[in-house]
Amino acid sequence: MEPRWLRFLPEPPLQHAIEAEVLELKAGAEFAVRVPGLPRRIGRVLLAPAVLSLDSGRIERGVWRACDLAALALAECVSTEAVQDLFEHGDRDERLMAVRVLPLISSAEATRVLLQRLQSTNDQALFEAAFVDSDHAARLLDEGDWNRASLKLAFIGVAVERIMGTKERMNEALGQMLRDLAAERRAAGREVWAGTDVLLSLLPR
Amino acid sequence: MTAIPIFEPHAHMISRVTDDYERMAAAGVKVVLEPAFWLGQPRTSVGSFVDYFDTLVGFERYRAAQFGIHHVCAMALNPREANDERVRADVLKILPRYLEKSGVVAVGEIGLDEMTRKEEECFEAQVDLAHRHGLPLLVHTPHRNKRQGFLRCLDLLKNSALPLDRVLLDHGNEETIEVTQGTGVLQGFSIYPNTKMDPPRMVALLLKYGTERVSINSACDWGISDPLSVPKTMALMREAGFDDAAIRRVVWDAPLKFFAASGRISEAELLTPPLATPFSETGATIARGGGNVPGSCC
Repeated sequence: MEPRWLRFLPEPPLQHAIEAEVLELKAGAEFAVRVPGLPRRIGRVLLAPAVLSLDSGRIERGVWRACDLAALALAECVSTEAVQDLFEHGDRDERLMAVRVLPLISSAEATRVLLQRLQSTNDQALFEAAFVDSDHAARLLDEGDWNRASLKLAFIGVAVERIMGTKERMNEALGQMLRDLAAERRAAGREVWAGTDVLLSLLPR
Repeated sequence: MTAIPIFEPHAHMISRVTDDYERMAAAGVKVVLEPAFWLGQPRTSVGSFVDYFDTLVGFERYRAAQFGIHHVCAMALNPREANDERVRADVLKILPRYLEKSGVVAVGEIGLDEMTRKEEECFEAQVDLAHRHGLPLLVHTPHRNKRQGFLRCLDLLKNSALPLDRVLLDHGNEETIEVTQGTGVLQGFSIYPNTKMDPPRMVALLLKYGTERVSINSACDWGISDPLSVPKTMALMREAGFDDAAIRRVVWDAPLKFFAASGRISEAELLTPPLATPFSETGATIARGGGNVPGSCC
C-alpha cells in the first residue's frame, strides 16, 4: 500500500530527504530522538496550497510544513502511542507535528481524545492546527465539543473560511453562543467577529 | 548609539514572575538561556523531571516569546540530584530525546556540588552526552571549596572527548579565574547577591584580566537574586571606561558564539523578535502567561 505521506505529492528533493529519514528510522534510530530534529533537517517551509481528500477526511495541505510531512512519514512506521507520546512530551514544533499527523494515522477515538485535550490549550498555533484547515473536528466532535471549539475560534478571530464543516455542523445552540459573544463585544465597544453573520446565516430561517 | 543586545546565559525563569520578563526586555535582554536545575526541593521520581523538562521546552519558551525574548535551554541532571538514587539513572535515560529538541542548545547545568563520586559519575556520563549530541556544556561549580571544585572539573574534562572551548565553567570568582585563564573554557561569572559575585567585584576582575572568554549572568532563581544584574554590571563597566565593543563582547558575543556552536541558533534569528501568539483582529487572545505586552505580538 502506498504510504499516506506520498499522497501529499512532495517535490522530489523533499521526497528524497524524507525517504532518507525513513531509512534512518528503519535502521534502528529512535522515533522520539529523530523527530525533534526534523525542523532543522527538513525545514519548516510550507507545502503548496490544495485541499486533499484522504481516507481520514479533508485537509488543507498549504498549512503543512515540510517537517510535518516528514513526521507523517516516520509516524507511519511506528505506533499511535509513539505519536501520542510525541504530543505529550514534545516542544511546540513536535506538538504541531503530532497534531497534524495523528488524525491521519490513528483511530477516530484517538483523534477525538486529542482534540478534546486541545480545547484548553493557550497556544493559538496549536489550537488552529487542531480545529481549522481540516474537517477532523467537524467529523469527530459531538455538538457540545464542536460548539466550544467554534466559539473559541470566534473569540480569537480566526477567518471563518478556514473552518471546515460549518454548513453541516451549524446549530441553534452555537448560534445563540455567537449572538451572545457579539452582544458582549458590542457592549464593550469592541469589534464583533467577522464570521458571526456568515455562520448565523447558515441556520434555518 | 545602538543599544547593546544582551544574551543572558544563565537564568532560571521558571522561578521568576512576569514583571521580570518585562524588565529584562526593557533592559535589552534578547535571549535567556535556562539551564535545568534543582528546584529547591528533591524530586522523588523521574516523572517530575519529565514534566519540568517539558515545561522548559514548552510553556516557558512560549511565555518568554510573549515578551519579545528568545528562550533557549540547557538540559541535564543537576549535580545535587545526581546523588539521589531515586532519580539519577532514570533521568540520564530520558535525556537523549530532550537533547535533540530545537530549543536545547547545551547540556547543563551538570557539575559538582558536594564533590561526591556519584556526582562525578553523572558528570562524566553527561560530558559524553554533550559530545555525542554535538552540544556545548554548561558546568555548575560548588558553592564551597570552589577552587578545588574548579580544578576537579577541569581534571574530569581533560580526560573527556569534549574540547575545553565547548565548556562554560560557571559561578567563578577571584580565585577561580586564576585557574581558568588560558585553559580555553568560557569563564562564567554569576552576578548574584550575597553568595557569588557582585557588579563592582566583577568590573574589577574585568579590569585586571580583560574581557576575552568571559561571560556574565544573573543566575536568577528562587533565591534572592536579580534578573537585571547583567545590565547593572554593564552600566558599571561603562563607568569604569570599557567601550561598547568590550561590553558587547562579554554580554553578547561570548555567549552567542559559545551556544551557537550547537548549530541550533544564529545571531540573525536571535536579533529578530520571536514569533508570539498573534492577537486577533478583535484584540482577543487565548494566551495565558503574557500576551499583553505592546509590541511583542505578531
